[in-house]
Amino acid sequence: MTVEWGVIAVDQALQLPFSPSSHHSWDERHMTRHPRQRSWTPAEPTRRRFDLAAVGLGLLLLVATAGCTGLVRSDPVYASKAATTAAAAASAVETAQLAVQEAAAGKLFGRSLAQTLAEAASDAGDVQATFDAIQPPDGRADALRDQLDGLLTPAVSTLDDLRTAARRGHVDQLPSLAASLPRLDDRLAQFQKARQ
Amino acid sequence: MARRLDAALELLDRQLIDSDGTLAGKVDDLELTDPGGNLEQPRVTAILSGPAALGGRLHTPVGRWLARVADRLLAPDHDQLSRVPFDQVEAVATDIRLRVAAGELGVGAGEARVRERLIGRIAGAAMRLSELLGAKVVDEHGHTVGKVHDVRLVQEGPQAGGVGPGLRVEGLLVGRRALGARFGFDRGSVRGPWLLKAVFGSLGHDGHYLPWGRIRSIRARQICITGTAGDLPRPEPLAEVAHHREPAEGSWRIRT
Amino acid sequence: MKKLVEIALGILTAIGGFVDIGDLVASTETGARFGLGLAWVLVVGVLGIIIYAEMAGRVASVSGRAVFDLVRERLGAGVGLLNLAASFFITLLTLAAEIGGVALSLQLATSVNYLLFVPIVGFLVWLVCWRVRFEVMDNAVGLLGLALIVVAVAVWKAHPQWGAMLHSATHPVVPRTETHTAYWYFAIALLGSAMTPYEVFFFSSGAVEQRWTRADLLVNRLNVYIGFPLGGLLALVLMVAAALVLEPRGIDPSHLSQAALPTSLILGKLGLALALLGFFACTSGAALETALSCGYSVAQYFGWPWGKLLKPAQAPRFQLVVLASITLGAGLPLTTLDPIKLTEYAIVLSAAALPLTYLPLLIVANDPAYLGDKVNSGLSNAIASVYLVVLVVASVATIPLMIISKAGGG
Repeated sequence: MTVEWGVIAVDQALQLPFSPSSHHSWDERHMTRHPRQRSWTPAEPTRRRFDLAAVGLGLLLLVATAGCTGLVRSDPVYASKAATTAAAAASAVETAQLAVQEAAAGKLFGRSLAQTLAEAASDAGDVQATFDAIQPPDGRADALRDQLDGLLTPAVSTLDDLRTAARRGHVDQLPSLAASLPRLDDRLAQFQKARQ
Repeated sequence: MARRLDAALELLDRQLIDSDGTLAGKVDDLELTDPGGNLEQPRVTAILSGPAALGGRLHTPVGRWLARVADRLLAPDHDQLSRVPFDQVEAVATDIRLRVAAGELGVGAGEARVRERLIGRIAGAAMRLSELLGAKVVDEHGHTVGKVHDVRLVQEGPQAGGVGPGLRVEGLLVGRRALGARFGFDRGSVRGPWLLKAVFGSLGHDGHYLPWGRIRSIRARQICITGTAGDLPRPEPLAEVAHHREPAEGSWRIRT
Repeated sequence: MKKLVEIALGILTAIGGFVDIGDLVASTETGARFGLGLAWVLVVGVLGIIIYAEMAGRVASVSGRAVFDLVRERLGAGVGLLNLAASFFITLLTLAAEIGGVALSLQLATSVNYLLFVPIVGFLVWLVCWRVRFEVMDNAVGLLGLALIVVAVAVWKAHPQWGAMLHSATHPVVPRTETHTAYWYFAIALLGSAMTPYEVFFFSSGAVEQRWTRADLLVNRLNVYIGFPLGGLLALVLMVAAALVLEPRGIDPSHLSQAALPTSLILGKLGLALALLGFFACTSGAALETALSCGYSVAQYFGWPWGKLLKPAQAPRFQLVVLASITLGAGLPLTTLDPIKLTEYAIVLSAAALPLTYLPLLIVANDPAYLGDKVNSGLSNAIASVYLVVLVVASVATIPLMIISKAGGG
């Protein structure tokens, strides 16, 4: 049925410039109707509406791509991207810390714990992957990237370990696995503040 | 004093409710015919409803495309109206009540006739209200007077269904007052939020009333008139008609 | 006595049914990022929906017509179609977000991937719309949604410094880590989450289906004036909970799991269980409402028979639109588009489209042809007009702010 819809819709759309209409004229003397040739004549406003539609579509595309990353041409922009990356990573690390803290106090169901840690781990991984995909514009930015990666990589790997342990139900192992997180968190926070 | 009403404001886009209380579409267009055959005294002879009628009314390609797609796909079934002869109308209020159940009107036949009238050749002198709305009015010197934003109907002549005398086209309302007038802000009874009245009410008060007799010709959505814009009168405000009907009266509520 | 039960039920379902995935996401995120700096927007939004929902209920009771029914009468076929297209699209987006939200709550409870739940949720939503009686459906999800009260309990038990909180709520400050454009972007998003257009369609259509008359005007007012503020309070406590637990830790929530952390921290497993139930109930209820609203708006524009109370055979096209909407709504999350991101777009675009819904409603509520002597009073007109101006300003500012603040990403 969907295919039929689609076919008919396309068929109708293609017919538009050539489709029939009621185009009649009244004779002055007789006030009678003479059916004339068959053509729809769209009124002026439709052209404007098409333009509006095109602008609207353009805006929508712009908005949709608003979050995309790409080539960064300047140092301060790169530094600010590094800062936001650090903030996002810190958020994931804090989430994991809080979850582990609650789990140790018996406040979370196993499945919810596993879900929370899985999401934190994937967030951290995504954040690092997105950041690493940006080309550093120069040597100084290169050093910045190395420094941040030095914090991100252990964070991601710790969160991955936590996720795996939670999935396997080894709740008692979590606090020890998460031991390095507070320090990582602090350093990420310092990094972010320095480059805000 | 014969009742007058403005077609676009009070008839178009109103809900149709059949005798069983079932919702039966909206008034998408009106069919205007002159029994004399020459459109000197057109009368409202039918209500047109359904995707074909709606599509004919929307002047954007998207609107018409939607209507044609809907028309092809939605097979007319028993409760989908296409053409309701005006003598089947029981009452005209905020909604239009019909005398018969939708199924009794024999939709299939109506559907075919509407298709014919909208897409093919039209036999006899008939036209649709939507052909008048939005048409450009040009005086005898070629100056544009404005666009038609409504059609004034007067209730007189032979009986039509339950509404009493049928509706005849008396004249056209030409001008720029479309938005505020549609919202009803020019009517005295709508006290309205002050802000909206101020914004919409002040949008152009340069309307004219064009008696039907002054029309010389209508072609391709352009209406040529005798005389000039200067000798056209201002439209008379219509007497207030109380349409309010309490739902508790029952028979027309949607049935369960 | 029966009347009292009916009124109580109405109020309780209004409270429990107020919060949806949009409120959940908006309140939690703004609480975590801005503390209580945007609490005033929530108050403004809740007041706005109260005023307009009361109007919609009054219009439905006295004239017997639902809001979207009258949109076409007042705006004409062309502009009405534009309005329909925009409202339908946004309601559909919201439906997709709600279905995603239900799936996410189930994922949080079971750790099973939410994508597996989406088709099941879609099917169940359709089944309920098709088969279950309106009142049963409305009441069941509304009452279950009251489980979210656990978040209020959690906030209470946390013994926050009420004075300091009140001060920060009444003296909003943009945090150093956030930009002003992000602040205003989220203000608009929060407004859109509180004043959702579909709520008005659903509320008025439901009132018509249940055959409210003048006699029910009091019930309408009680539901709205008591139920909605308390429901809004639930949205506010979600913001407070996030401000208390997530903000100090610098957690920026982008998952439902993070939204549940404050409650489980303070109330443990029981709190978590009730919060999950609350999330599930709110999103399910909203999924049903948005699915029906999609059907209501299309059927009311074309004048087709509509309504959950009609047998499917009597309203075939209405049911077809509901089915198609649910299919599309379930399809969107299945494209692995993040439901939380989807929710953010839905509420922001809702905010942009609010004037489309509220302007016709305000006009109709002033027309004695529909309401007789029950037209708006001067005071409600004044307040409603102010709101309309605010909504138009917010609507115009939405897209530019979205672009400048990179959808709040900053």
